[in-house]
Amino acid sequence: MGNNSANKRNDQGFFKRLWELIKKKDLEEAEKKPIIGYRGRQILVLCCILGFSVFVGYHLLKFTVLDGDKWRELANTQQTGQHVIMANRGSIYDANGTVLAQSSAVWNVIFAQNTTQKQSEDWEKDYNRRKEEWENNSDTSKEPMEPFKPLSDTIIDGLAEILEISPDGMRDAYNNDQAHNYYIVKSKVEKPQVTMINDFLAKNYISSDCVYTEQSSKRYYPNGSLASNVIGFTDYKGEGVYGLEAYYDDYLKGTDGKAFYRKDGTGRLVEYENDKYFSAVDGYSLVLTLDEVLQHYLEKNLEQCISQHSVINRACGIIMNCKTGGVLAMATSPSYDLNEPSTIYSDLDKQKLAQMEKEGKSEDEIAAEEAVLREGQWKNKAVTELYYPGSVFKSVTTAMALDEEVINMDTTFDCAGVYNVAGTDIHCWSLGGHGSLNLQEGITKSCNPYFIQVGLALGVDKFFNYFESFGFTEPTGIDLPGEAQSLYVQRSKMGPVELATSAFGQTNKITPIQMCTAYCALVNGGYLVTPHLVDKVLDSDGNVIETKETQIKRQVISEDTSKQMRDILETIVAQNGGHNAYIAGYRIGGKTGTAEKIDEYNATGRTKMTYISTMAAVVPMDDPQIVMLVLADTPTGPEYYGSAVAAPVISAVFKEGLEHLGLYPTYTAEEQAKMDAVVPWVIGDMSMYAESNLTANNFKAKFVGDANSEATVSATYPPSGASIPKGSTVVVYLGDAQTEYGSVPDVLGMSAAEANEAITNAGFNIKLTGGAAANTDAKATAQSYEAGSSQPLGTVIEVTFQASSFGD
Amino acid sequence: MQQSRNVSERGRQAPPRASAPRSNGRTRPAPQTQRPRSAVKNVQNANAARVKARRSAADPRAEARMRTSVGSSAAVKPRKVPKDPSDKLKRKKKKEKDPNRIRFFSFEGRVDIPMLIITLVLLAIGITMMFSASPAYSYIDNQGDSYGYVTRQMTAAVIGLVGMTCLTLFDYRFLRFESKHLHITAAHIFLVICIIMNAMCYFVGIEAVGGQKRWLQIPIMGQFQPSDFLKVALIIFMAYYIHKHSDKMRTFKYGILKPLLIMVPVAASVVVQKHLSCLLIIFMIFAVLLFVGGVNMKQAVPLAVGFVLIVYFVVSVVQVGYFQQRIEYMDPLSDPGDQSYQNFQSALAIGSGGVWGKGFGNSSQKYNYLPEAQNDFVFAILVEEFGFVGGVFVIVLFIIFIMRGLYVARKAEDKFGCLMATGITFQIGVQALLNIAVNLCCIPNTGVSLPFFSYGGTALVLQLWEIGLLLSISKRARVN
Repeated sequence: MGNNSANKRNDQGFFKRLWELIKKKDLEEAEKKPIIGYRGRQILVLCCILGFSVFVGYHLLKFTVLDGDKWRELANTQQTGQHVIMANRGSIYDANGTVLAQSSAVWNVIFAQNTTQKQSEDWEKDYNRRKEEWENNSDTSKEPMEPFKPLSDTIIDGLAEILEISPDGMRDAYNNDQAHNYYIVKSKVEKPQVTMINDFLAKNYISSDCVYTEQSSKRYYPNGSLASNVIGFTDYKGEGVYGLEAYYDDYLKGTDGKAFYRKDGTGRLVEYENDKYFSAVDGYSLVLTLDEVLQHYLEKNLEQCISQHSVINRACGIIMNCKTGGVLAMATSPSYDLNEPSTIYSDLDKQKLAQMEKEGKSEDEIAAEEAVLREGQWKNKAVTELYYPGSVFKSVTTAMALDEEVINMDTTFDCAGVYNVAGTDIHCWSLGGHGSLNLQEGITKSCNPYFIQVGLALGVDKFFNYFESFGFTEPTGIDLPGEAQSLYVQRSKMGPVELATSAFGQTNKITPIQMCTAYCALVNGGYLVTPHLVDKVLDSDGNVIETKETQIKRQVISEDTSKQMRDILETIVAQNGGHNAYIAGYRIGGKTGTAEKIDEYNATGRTKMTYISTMAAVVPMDDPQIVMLVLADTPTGPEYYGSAVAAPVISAVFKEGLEHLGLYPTYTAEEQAKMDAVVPWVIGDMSMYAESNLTANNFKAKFVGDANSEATVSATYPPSGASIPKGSTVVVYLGDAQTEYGSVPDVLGMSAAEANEAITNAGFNIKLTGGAAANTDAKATAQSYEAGSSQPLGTVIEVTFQASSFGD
Repeated sequence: MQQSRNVSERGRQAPPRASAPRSNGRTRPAPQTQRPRSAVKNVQNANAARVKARRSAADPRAEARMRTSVGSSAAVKPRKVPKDPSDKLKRKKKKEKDPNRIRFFSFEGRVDIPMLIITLVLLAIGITMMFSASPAYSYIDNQGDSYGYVTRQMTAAVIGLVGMTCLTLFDYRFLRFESKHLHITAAHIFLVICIIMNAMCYFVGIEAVGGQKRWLQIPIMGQFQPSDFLKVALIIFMAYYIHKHSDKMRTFKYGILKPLLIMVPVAASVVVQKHLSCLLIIFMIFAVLLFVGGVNMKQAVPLAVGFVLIVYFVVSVVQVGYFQQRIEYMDPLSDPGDQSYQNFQSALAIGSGGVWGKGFGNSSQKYNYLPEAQNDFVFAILVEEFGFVGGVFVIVLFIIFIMRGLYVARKAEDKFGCLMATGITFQIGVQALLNIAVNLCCIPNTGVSLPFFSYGGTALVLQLWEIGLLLSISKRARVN
């Protein structure tokens, strides 16, 4: 507009003119036709849009097709979750089907503190809203509203009450650990409590986002400490870490299943992917050769042995079927409770820790020591520890020599109490020497010089060949973890002194299971078997998956030699009127040993010799089935000989356990005479009838009251029905005669004859127990009633005899 | 001046023989069965018409004839034109008395059917996809009501469709009808109201999590977003402005200075809402309308470039590294845990779609992975469910929409309609492509929603009303 003013005035000033100029230019410019009209401009805009569309389209192609796989992969990773379907761990059964270990479903209770807080806030808002409403129309409802209880308080109090735990942990997690949303309130909660929790949640309208349970599994050992060192236990993840649980972990654990599912952005399950479901395969169950009953007897008697003889380094025992190699019982004592493996059970260990605490040791030191002790109590001594076999090994040397026919039953060697081998004096346990001995005498008296000479007669090569073939140089291959490798003098390094000491078992360190297996070979016809604990493997439906066959490694000695060995071993127990391991009615063979712990003796400066008391026994000798080895490491009581410490364990276990195994006693006439009989019913009878009745039952009658009167029997002691030794005197009370009492004499330390006399004189009856009761050397070690106590006359006093003077 | 305005405004519209091809149709015995011509044919016709218009522009007689046909119902309702030439003359005479008479409602003419169809198709697909994408978020946001979002969207669609029908019948020219003394038009009033409403957001708006206040609470209707209205108001006003000053658009004062002055309150009212995406769209509409409106590019380009550079430097100084960060976090894998989380989830959704997609309803990313899946990222869910093919289909639909919209603009009766159609088409089309580009991580996330697809009642209603205006324009245009 106003384009006529451009040249009107020239003195308007520079800016004015400039402005006019610009205006003019602008108008001139405006008059020109645009290069592109509005239609063209529309097309241009469209082209820009189209170009941009192509750009966008290319990106779409890139994301969906060109790079699609990468994004799909990432998306799947993000969107897919998986549930682990836990496989049930297989059970462990003993030979009779008793459950030794089983798994059960338990639950972990989880408290999601973060979610709870959020929900609590929501609830509070809701509550406040309702409260406001209530306040606004308070005339309709006069009942005041309860004050708001935070959701966390409801949950924490409820869970603490149901689970019987302190609420402090949860409260602490809620107040101080809001960063996490996962607090394990209690693990391994059983089904009833889980049901209670679910009811509690439902009742209080608490979402399962705040409190939930996760299934897990718990290993349960119904028998607690029974065979604990053999069975072993599982760790918190459910993997076996000791014993059979560890060795057969692959069998037991099964295969966990998986279920894949799609989840949403908050991690919640949207749907399962049906084509990706892998069900769990439950673990296999194990049926052991172990017999729970026998195991129980073994453990009971080992414990008794430990307390009686103050064994400080634990004791172990193995009972094996010598034909199949199946282990019937295997125990280490003191053991521990499989359900609480971390607790220290041994009194000695507890004392040690208490002592450390008293000495003011730091907590770390005590904890470290406790860890060492714990490791120690978990060990299976029968398999993982080495020992000097001592005199028990002499039977093996005997078998070697007999098999090689280096000696025979009549070969005699002299014992002068000491024997010099290549300039080294080796002593016999008998300082005075045994004089001239044949083989049976040599092994019965366990004479060291005799076996030094047998060993030297064998020579290094032959000795070592047999040593190898008896399996002392290699692990037995028993199905337990951590079997120790024996320590032995190599063939090339074995000089005469080593050979001589090896011959009576004082040089090479072996495991108890090796010794036991060697004894099996000695008596079963010469076959070295592989010991094993598992008999059968079952799947979850009970079908037999695998049967562990008897594995014979090799024949070590001939059948004849084996037969000779059986005779020799039986004679050792039977000779000299009986052995501590002797049991009436059974043919038992065996060899005791008292190994000197030379290495510890040397290590501790040769001040105090410590011993391992052992015995290996075989039953029945006519057809050997059972081999048993007992080993007490470092007894600190007055007695440390194998015959005194180990043999009573064997005797007691056999007495209790053999019948359970189907081996019934067959008594000789002599034994029959010593057996118990039942007191007959004579009450109401005339005295003479009563006497004849008692006599007919091999009892003597002692009348109290007038025997010639018409009075009838009013009572007997021991009462009728009681089982007492034949030949005992039954006190018969006639008429209204009163029970008479006597004082029990002290018979401890007496021989059998002396004790019998003392007890009979006091008006009581004696019952001899202990395998060596008939042995002239045996001394009474225990009596059933305390000396000096008042007991009715005729009471049977059980006196235990042990032959303590055996050297071995 | 009046003369040149007429040339530029009407020269293109009514060439004397533009109706020649149409006369063929009239010879047919049953004109009711006649289908609208194909776009291609119309383009051809238009080309021919343009050539003739240029020729006739120099010819005063032709011009005179041309003027007579302004607002002629004969151009819009060819079938009703009686065969009798005297009657035709009579009608023309009647129009000549009041060539610019604007009625509030106009039942004459026929809407552009392709435009209507493509709108309805987009709306149908859009609501369906929003329905597919929203249940999980709806469940969380609407107190367990999975269908909350889709219900409200459908309500908005119904309101929108009703409004669209009304606006189709409405004579859009009413918007530029100036009152006698004050020369105030509906466009003025509409723009001022919108600016006030937007400014009100700053004072009484509902504050969102990020501090933005984009929503107003209305007692009965509920919440709505005034910035959506502002876009439409700006389009209408700019169209009116350019229409009015079309002959002076190439001058600095009318082409640049005045429009910029108009933009100051408009932009300010958006800035106070911290609504950057809206600001971006508004400036784009502004620029495109001026561009098409014939602004002098020699002046506009340096100014625009300078403006962009100034904005860039100012923002860079105020917030160091702002642009770099925006560009950096475009890459989905740059910081998937935090800054590029949404882009990452979008990429996962789009990438897992593959060529054919997972099938309708089978998206996984909509389950609380992809934030705003029902809103700005419906396209990502669509691609996840229908794959590359589905994505391309939607892009092509929008391109067809844009092309048809621009076609309507070209055929519009007056410059006002032309620019309004251009603005509406451009706004919807550009929003769509920008949103798709954001979904595909090729531009920084601006918060632009996808028209017809994204959840948002105000936006959907407004978009449908805009289509109504567009159809109203098409009704008077020489499309059919």
